[in-house]
Amino acid sequence: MNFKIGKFQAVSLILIVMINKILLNLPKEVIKQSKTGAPITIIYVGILSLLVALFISFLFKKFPNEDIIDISKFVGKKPLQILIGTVFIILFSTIIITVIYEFTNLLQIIYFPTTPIYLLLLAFFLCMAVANHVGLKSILKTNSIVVMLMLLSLIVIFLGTINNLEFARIHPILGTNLSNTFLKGTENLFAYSALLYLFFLAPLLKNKKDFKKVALISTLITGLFLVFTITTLLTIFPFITHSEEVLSMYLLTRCIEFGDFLQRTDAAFILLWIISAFSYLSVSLNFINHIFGKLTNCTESNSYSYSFLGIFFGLLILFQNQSLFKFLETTFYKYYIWGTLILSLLILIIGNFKRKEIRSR
Amino acid sequence: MKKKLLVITCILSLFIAFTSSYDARETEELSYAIAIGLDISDSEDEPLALTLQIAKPDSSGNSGTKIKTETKTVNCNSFSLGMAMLNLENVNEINLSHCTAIIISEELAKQGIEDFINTLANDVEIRPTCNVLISQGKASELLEKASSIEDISAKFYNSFINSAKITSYVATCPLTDFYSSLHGDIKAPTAIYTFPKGDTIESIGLAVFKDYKMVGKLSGLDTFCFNLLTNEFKESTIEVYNPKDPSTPLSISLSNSKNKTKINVTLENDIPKITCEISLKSSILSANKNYDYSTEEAKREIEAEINKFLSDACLDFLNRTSKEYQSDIVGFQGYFNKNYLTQDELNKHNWNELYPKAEFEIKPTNYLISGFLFSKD
Repeated sequence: MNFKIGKFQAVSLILIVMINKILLNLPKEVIKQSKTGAPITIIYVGILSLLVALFISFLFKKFPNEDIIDISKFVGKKPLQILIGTVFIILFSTIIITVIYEFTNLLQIIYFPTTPIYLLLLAFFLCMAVANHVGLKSILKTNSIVVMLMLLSLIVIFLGTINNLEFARIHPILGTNLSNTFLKGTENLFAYSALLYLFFLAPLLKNKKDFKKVALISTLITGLFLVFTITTLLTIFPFITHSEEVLSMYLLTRCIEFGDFLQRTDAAFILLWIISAFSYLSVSLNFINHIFGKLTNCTESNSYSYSFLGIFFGLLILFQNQSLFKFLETTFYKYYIWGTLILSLLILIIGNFKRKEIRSR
Repeated sequence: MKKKLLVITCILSLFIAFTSSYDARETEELSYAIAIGLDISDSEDEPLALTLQIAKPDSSGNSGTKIKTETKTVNCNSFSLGMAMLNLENVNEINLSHCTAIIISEELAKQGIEDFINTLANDVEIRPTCNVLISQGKASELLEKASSIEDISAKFYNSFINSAKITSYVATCPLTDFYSSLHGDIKAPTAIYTFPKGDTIESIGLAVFKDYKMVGKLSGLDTFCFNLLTNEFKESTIEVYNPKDPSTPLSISLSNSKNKTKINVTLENDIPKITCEISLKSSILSANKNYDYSTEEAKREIEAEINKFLSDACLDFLNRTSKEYQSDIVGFQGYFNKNYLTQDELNKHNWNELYPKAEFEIKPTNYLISGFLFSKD
């Protein structure tokens, strides 16, 4: 990546991940696990993730111009680089596939019940192809605007549903029991999966000192919006702890009415969400591009991302199986995030020791 | 140039893909249902009778487009099948986007609504703000009566809700709340109770549910108390009698004060003790020539009478819901849950078994303000 980004664009990059995870039932997954203790769990996990973010920024002090792929090469030569690269490519590919599946599924159920699925898929793939063609710099600039609009839309959702909130539904405040809320609740660290993007941020930043600020600000905003969303969902839809729905945030938008004039505002929100998904998908595809380029020493070209798009399109056409995508989104994603985070942190720690040793020599 | 060409090609291909005519649904090809009626049918094979009140725009007159409605009924096994059958009968595709009321007959509600309420709540077209009503007689008859009213629109059923704000004898019962209350919520579901009256239809009171079955109904005064205790109360008019002049009723206007109703639930010897502190503003609407209301003593007497009225009415309402219907429609369970930090602690108690034994204490306060344009000489 031959360009640098500022603080604002870097925070927006992390936030687009969080926003899309909020839209794609992440709050619901936390609620399902922690029940009424979900707001407390997410605050507690938020504090943990802040510590993790600080730790990552501390570890990156010795690698201001390298990302996790470069560091893994430094630590374990090419084999480790290929391993960690593949781990991240699988992660970003899963994200792309599940995001597209969820959105096309929603669009087909609500607005295009008779439209062939491949047409809906094409809309997403064409946008990703165009975005990939114009490059990450343009995507990140657009992303900053999209993130602002999305945060605004989330605030409008909270304000629009404020009359429906029933705070008595949030009790007992600590959920099922203490161990479920705090010990098992730690599993919910996957809600802050945007932290993983920090491993690629350092070389992108104009000012390397901003890394810590970016990590802290983005984690704080993520936590704040997660708490708001989880509390809103829990206090409006008590059935959410044991039901399966398309997108829980969509249910919220259906409840919004501003007097007699503005009713059925869900369509406007969905339009915004699709734009946000385009942005998120394009960012993820570009990260795949970037990693694949480093693994194959082809950093100058991005043409192979069209091959990735072709593979994703084929997979989505082949596997229109809801249970498979639910498994990917919940169980697989949850534990894979944990695995990737631990592996990346280990590589960073070893890298720090190795660099220290080299310098001392 | 190449980039621009690529972008334009992509945008054009999307336009072509999504504006295709094969799956377009134009408004003139749709019939909009404004209310759904559900009854027990006469047929044994098809136990459900589904009635739709469908809007028919009529521009034949000189005074612009009028909305007339017609009702269509089919016997069916389920709501979805009924919709399919009605779509077969109807020239246009029936759309439920403008449906503002789901009317269920009392007979069917008492039998149980689990067979169709989940389907209705899951329907993408039906708005979550659509109200659930229980009709005294057949829902189809009620809809036919409503259809005979000139120029009815989807807003007709919302008029009940508007009257709730003035009288408090009705409460809003949107589908999303009704559905939530059926699924592990802190309160039991309620629906607006409606019945035909003369040439029109009227709504006063609430139908009380326990799980999926209607277990009883509440009067207008009970609903007034329900609104008070759930903090949905806006304003209402009541009648009280002054002890010094018991023959003449006083009309009192009540309105909500800044203080919300405070509820506290504690458990003593396995009996829930429920305390409700109600705070209202009141004003006298009817004057009596023989009595001077302007003195401090008279003011205190009337305030005490209003408090007694509120206390009696609320106790009567709460005892009916707990002892007779055994259904916690106010949501005291939420206040009870506050006493426990974890679900494991809470699981030691069964609120459904505790609520019928509940003891209530009502602590009303009201502040009497002058309702007169002029006072006595």
